[in-house]
Amino acid sequence: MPTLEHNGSSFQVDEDGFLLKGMEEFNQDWIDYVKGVEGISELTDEHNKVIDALQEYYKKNGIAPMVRILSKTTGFPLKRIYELFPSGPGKGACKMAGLPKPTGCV
Amino acid sequence: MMYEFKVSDIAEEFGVHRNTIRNWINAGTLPAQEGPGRKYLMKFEDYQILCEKFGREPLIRPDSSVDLKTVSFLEAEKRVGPVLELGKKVKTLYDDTQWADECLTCGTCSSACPISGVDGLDPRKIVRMAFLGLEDDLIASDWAWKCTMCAKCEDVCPANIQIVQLMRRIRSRRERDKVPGPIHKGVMTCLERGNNIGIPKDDFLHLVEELGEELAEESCPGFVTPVDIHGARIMVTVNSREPFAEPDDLKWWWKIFHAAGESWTLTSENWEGVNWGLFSGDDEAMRTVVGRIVDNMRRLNCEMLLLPECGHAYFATRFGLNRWYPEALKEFKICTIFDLLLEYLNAGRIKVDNTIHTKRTVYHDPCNYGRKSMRAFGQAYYEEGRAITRACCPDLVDMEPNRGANYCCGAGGGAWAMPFADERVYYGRMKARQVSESEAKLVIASCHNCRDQLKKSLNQEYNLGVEVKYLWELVADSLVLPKNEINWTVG
Repeated sequence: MPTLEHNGSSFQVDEDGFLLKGMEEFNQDWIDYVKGVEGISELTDEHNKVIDALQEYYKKNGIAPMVRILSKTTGFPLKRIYELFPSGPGKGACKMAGLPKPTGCV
Repeated sequence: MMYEFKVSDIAEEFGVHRNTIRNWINAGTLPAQEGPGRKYLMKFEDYQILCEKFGREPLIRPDSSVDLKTVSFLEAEKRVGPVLELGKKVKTLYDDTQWADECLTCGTCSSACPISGVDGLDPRKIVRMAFLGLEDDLIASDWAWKCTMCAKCEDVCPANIQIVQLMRRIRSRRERDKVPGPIHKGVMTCLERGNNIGIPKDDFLHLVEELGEELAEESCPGFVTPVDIHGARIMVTVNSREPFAEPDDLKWWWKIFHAAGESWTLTSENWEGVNWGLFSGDDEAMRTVVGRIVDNMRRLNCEMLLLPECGHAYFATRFGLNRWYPEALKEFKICTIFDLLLEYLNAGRIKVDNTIHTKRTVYHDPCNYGRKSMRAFGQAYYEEGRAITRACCPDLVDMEPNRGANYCCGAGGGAWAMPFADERVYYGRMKARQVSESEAKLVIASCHNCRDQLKKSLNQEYNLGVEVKYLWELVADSLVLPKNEINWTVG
């Protein structure tokens, strides 16, 4: 599996570019790296709120939450989540939060 | 240089019995390998040694009357490649001669395959490699995973080689932890949690209830999402990606059911219609997932099974029912989205307005409902999708080629979820060209993968500038609802 370096941190990623060890290796440098590859111009508190919500749900349930749950826990409408993470909550947001890629046709 | 011989010829040459030659080969005394066409190959030097041993003149001499000195400078250029170890071992990748032996090596499959030539992928080469026993190389390569199993190669094959079966067998031999992307993980999650993504039961039930309430408010007064309704006529499965990522998309079907006054139900558990065992080559998992659907059908005593998600869900489930649960098909019927929508339209159970979608429209034939269904079940759905589309869109045109000869969108066989995005987009160039040449502004797809590839990938990658809708989305958006003749919007 490939390893990549960013700002001095090194990360093991899977073939889809998701953190292989998940939240164990998740840190600020990872967020900064994903921000670049996902084409997010500026990181805001809203992004952090989505990341926190994803991680919290994942710790409890072992999967990423459905978008409607994410929408409710963050208070952001779905449209806003897509604005924050253009490739969608299942791809960009999960990647940034250190969650594995959802295992469906997403 | 290799010397090619038939056992009978060399036996005659050396005055021994054929079995003696075979014994020598098996014992290694005669260092020869089995080659194609029941012939054997040995190094010419070994043949010469054999001749010396028997005091015979070799039948052929590779020398010529050319003065070798004049061409000796070429000697340095001469490259001798490694000799492949062929034959000898049992070929386990196929158990039917139609999977490889009968290949004519004409290459028609390679011409038909939209991804042939990419990363060394070539269906003819793959068939030959299977024939020659180069199994480890096939299993280690990603070719079988980049193939979308669209069966275009099979469709054109004059020898009727079962290439898709071979591809799936190659996939099945990959170590499970080396299956690309989330395919195997999805299978395991489905086995453990009842759906590919692992959505908890409470979350799912809460969501479908909430969506039902919204639908009742928006356009279908009195609508309540039916779950685990005993004796409902139709049991409907779900693609986990919809509750997970695009929950509002579920409402299109529900709205149609409501308008048709249908008796239908979802199930609270094991509601997944997607069956990735088909993609990963995992028969046991595939059988289990189909078996759960059978259990749900029996538990709820429903007459018909509808897998509205995608061509794949329908194909995998019908294939699994035929193969492992043929007795269940006497208890209930598996119906396609086409059968059901046409039933509604023909019986006047739903009415559609054909003045809403006036743009030029083109219908995409999914491989699973067309070419692959024809090969597997002897029944393809080509005209049905067009008839339904035509009822909503007066300006309907065809792509070229179409129906059984149609090109795959490029995202089938699990490609939408696999980590080979560049290959998937390149594959889709054929589809993009077909869409573009049709000059249509609206593309209708009756399969999730096709729709996603067209709408979310090819549309942008190839600047198609088209709108893409599911077939049932088109119908739902065209519905004339019984109580409110002009309300045809959905959330």
